[in-house]
Amino acid sequence: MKSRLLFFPLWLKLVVVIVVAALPLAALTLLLSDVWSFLGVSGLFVRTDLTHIGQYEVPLVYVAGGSALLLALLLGLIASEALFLTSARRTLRWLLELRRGEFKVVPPLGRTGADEIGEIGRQVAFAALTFSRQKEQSDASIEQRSLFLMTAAHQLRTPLTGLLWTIDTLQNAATSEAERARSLLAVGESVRRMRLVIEHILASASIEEGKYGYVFEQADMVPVIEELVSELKPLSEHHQIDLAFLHEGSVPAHIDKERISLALFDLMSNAIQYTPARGHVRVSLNAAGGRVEVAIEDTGIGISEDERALLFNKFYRGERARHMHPDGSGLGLYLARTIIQKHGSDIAIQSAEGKGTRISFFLKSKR
Amino acid sequence: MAKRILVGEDDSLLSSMIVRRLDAEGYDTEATYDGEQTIKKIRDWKPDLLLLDILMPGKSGYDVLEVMRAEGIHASMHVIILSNLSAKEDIARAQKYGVTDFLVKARTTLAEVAEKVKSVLSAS
Repeated sequence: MKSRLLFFPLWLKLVVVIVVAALPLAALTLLLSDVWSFLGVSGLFVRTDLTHIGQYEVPLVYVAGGSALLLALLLGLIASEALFLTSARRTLRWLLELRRGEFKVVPPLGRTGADEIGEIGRQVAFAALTFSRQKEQSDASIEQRSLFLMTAAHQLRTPLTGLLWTIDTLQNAATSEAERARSLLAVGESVRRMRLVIEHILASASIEEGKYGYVFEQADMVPVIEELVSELKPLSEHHQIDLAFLHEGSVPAHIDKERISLALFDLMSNAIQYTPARGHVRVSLNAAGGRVEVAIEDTGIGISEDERALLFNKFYRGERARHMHPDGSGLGLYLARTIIQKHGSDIAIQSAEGKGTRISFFLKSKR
Repeated sequence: MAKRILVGEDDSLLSSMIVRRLDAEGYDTEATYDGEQTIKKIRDWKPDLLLLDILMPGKSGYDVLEVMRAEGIHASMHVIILSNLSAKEDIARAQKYGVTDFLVKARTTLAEVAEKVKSVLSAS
């Protein structure tokens, strides 16, 4: 940092103090010399007589010299006090207060002089403010990280329990053949859920570190969505949702297939999970003007105006979403939006509470 | 007559596994998938034992316990909490309602659940 020009630096203040303090001594010197004789005032040096202080007899020069010294001291102190000691003390008190607040709370600095001490105060105040902001940020990020770990661990527990219990069932001699076959299907389901949770955690963590890489290619969106539809079939059947995919022919787009798949998976499974039974979820592709619009419409619970702003925050979960599925991670939409933004678009939401939601975004047809 | 057990658990995979296991042990077992259904089922069916999850859609397991206590529904029923919550506060909160036991899902095998059910029901 460039050193700042101080308006009234300490050296100048010291000069002032010395000059002020030297005044009585200078006056004495002048008195002792004969410079004022031309005014008709005879020099003091001729008066070597004694003066009486109480019962003592003291030479007059001693009295004059001693008084001049005392006066010099007094004037020096007053000048220093006025010029820098008061502001130095104020800065020190402020530093002590800062320390009591463990450098987290920065009290207002108050008036400091335009000298080095004032400058130190201002620089420390700046440093303390930076520190307290960073501390706040790092506290928040530590808290978020532990929330992240808790959510992740919790989400892994349910499928893990499924696996443990399946092993139990398979080990039980009384378990029938049909039951064993069903258990194996359950293993598949549990493992799939765990894989999905882990994928989400890894993706969010690497986005945070700025290491979430993308590999773009020219690909047809139709098979990508068809695969997702068949993957989500069990879920939609379980929720009694009619899941349909509307498209014509092939729809090429410039995408990272894997990432877009994950984003679409989250958007589609959300639509399914937050739509009441016997509702509909429709996915459609519309290519026009060098872009492909991907839209997911549902007849679900809808998203309120207030929730829309928060929806894509990491870990945010809507009030009614929490009500319907208490143990969601709050990572899906955050991830989906990050991925879609990397594809040069953003998620648009049209929604009416209780009626349904239309979520859409654009992909580039070509590079 | 077979003892009646109600399983209040929102995860259908876990729920069906418990139900089948307890059925195989000779109990009369039914499942409910959220708090609201669970309260209604307790009222209508009067089970001997309730295996209750805490994190469920709508009314949670705590809400179920709260309603049961406030309205004095079927007070003679045993309640075993079967949840993935394992924090001390959660366990303490459930115990305030006088639940018989608190089992953490991921740390409990199905055989242990069956064993616990058996011991609770045979003691009564």
